[in-house]
Amino acid sequence: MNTYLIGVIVALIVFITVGVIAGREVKDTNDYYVAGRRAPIILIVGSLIASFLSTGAFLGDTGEVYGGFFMGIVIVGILQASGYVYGANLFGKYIRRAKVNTVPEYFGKRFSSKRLRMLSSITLMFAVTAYMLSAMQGISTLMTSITGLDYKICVIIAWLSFTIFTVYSGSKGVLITDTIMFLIFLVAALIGIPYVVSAAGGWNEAITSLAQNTTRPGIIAWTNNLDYMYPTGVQNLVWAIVYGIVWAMVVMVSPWQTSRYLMAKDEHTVQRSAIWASMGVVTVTTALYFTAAFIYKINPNIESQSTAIIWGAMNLMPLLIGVVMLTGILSAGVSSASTFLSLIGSSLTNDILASKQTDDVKQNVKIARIGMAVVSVVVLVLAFFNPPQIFWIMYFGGTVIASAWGVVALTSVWSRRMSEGAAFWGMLLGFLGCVIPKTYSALSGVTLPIYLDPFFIGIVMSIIGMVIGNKVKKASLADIAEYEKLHVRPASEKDPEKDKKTHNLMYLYVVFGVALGLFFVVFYALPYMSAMG
Amino acid sequence: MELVLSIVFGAWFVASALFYGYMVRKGEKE
Repeated sequence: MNTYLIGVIVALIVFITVGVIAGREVKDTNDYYVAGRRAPIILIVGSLIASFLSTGAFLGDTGEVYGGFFMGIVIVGILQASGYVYGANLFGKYIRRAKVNTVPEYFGKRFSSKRLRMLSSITLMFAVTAYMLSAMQGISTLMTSITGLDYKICVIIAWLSFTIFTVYSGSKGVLITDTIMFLIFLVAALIGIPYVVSAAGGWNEAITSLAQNTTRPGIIAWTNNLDYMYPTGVQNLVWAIVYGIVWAMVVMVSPWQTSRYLMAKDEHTVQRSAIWASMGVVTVTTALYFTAAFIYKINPNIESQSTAIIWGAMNLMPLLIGVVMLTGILSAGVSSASTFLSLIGSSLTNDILASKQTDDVKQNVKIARIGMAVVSVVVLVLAFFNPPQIFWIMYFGGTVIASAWGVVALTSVWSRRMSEGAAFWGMLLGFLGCVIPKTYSALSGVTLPIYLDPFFIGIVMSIIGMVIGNKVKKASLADIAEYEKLHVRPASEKDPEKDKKTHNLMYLYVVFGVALGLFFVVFYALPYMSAMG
Repeated sequence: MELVLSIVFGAWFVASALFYGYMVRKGEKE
C-alpha cells in the first residue's frame, strides 16, 4: 500500500470519527438542520470556504490554468471571492433574521407561498445534485490516480467517506468536519508552492519562461492562450468577467453558501465571517493557480490537465508534503460533498415533504436522517453512471442557481413592492432560461457566443418573469409586513462594542486588497513585462 | 494590460471593503 493511500485513508477515518462524535450532540432538528444557530466565526468561515472550494477548484480550475487559461481563471477567482462581502450584507444577514431551517423555507415564509418554497427546493436539488456529482467525480478521480483502483470502486469509497457522518450528524457534524478539512486544504495549498517554484527554477525564471512560452503562447498573458477557448483576448476577458460575476452571484445567494449564515450565532458573525471567507478563498485559489502554471513550465506533457496538481504533488514535493497536498484536495471534495448532501436531504424533509414536527424530538431527528439517507442512495446511483467531466458539470450547477435565484433573492430583501407572483415567475423563468440553452449547447456541441451565455438568458428571463409576475399579482399586505420585519434589527444585535469590531474589520480588508494588488504587480505583472521586453 | 489588471484586482477589493463599511453602518440604524 503506498504512502499517499495511507494518508488518504487516515484522513477519511478522522473525518468520519469526528463527524460521528459531533452527531452525538444532535438533540433535535434545530441541531440537525442549522447546528442550533450557535456557530462561531471560525466554524462559519471554515464551512463557507470548504463548501465552496471543491475538487472543481483544486483539479478543474487548476486544469484550466495548466491548459492555458491562467488570467481568465484568476479573474473569476478574484471576482467570486468578493461575492462574500456583497452576499452577507445584501442577503445572508437578512435570511438569518427569518429564523428558518433552509433557504427555500425563507422564500416560502417571505411570500407566504408553498409553491415558491417547493420551486426553490426543486431548483436547489437540481443545481446541488449537479455540483455534488462533480465533487464525487473529483474525489474518485483523485483516488483512482493514487490507488490505481477501478473508478467505480472509488466512487463508492468517496460516497461512503462523507455519507456516514452527514446522515448521522447533519449540519452539526458538517460544520466541524468542514472546518477541519478547510484547515487541511489551506495548509496544502500553501505548503506545496516552494517546492514547485524551486523545481521550476525560481519564481522569476518561471514567470519569464511562461511569458515567453511557445508551445502554449499566452498561457499567463491577459489574453490567455488563444487556442484554448475564444480566439481573441477581449472575448476571453469578457468570458472571465461574466463567469466571475456568475460565481460571485453563486457566493452571494447559493444555498451551499447562504445556508451557513442560518447557523451563525448572530448577525455580527455573518458579516465578519464574510470578510474572513473572502480573504481565505483568494489566498487558496491564487496559490493554486500559480502552482498549476508553474507545473506546466516543469512538465507540459501531462495528458489529463485536471490531474496536473496531482502530478505535482506526487513528483515535485517531498513525500510527506505530497501526502498533505493530496489529502487537502480530498478534503476539499469531501467537505463540499457533505454540505451538498446535507442541503439536499434537509430540503427534501423540511421543504418538499414538509414533515410535521411532532412532540417526539427523537422521532423528528430520525425522520430527517431517513430523508438524508434516501437522498444519499439516489446520489450514489447517479454518480455511479456519470462520466468524469469535473469542470463542465460544476459550471452547470453554479450557473443555474445564479440565474434562478440571483435577482429574486436580492430583490426579496430589498423591494417592498415585490409580490409572490414576481418571486415565483422570476425564479421559474430564470431556471428554465438557463437550463434549456445550457442543455441545448451541451447536447448539440454548439458553443453559444458569450453574449448569449445561458446565465445572461436566465437573468433576463428572471427579470421578465418578475416584472410580469408583479403586474399579475401585486404585493399583498402580508408580503409588505414580511418585508418590513426583515428590516427591523433584533434588539439582541444592538451592541456598540460589537458594532465597532464588525465595522473595523473593513480596515483589514482594505489592507488585504492593497496587499493583493501589490502581490500581482510585483510577482506577476512586472516580471511578465520584463520578460516580454 | 497585465499591470492594469493587477492594479484593478487590488482596487476592486478596496471598493468592496468600503461597501462593507457602508453596509455595516447602515445596518446599525435599522
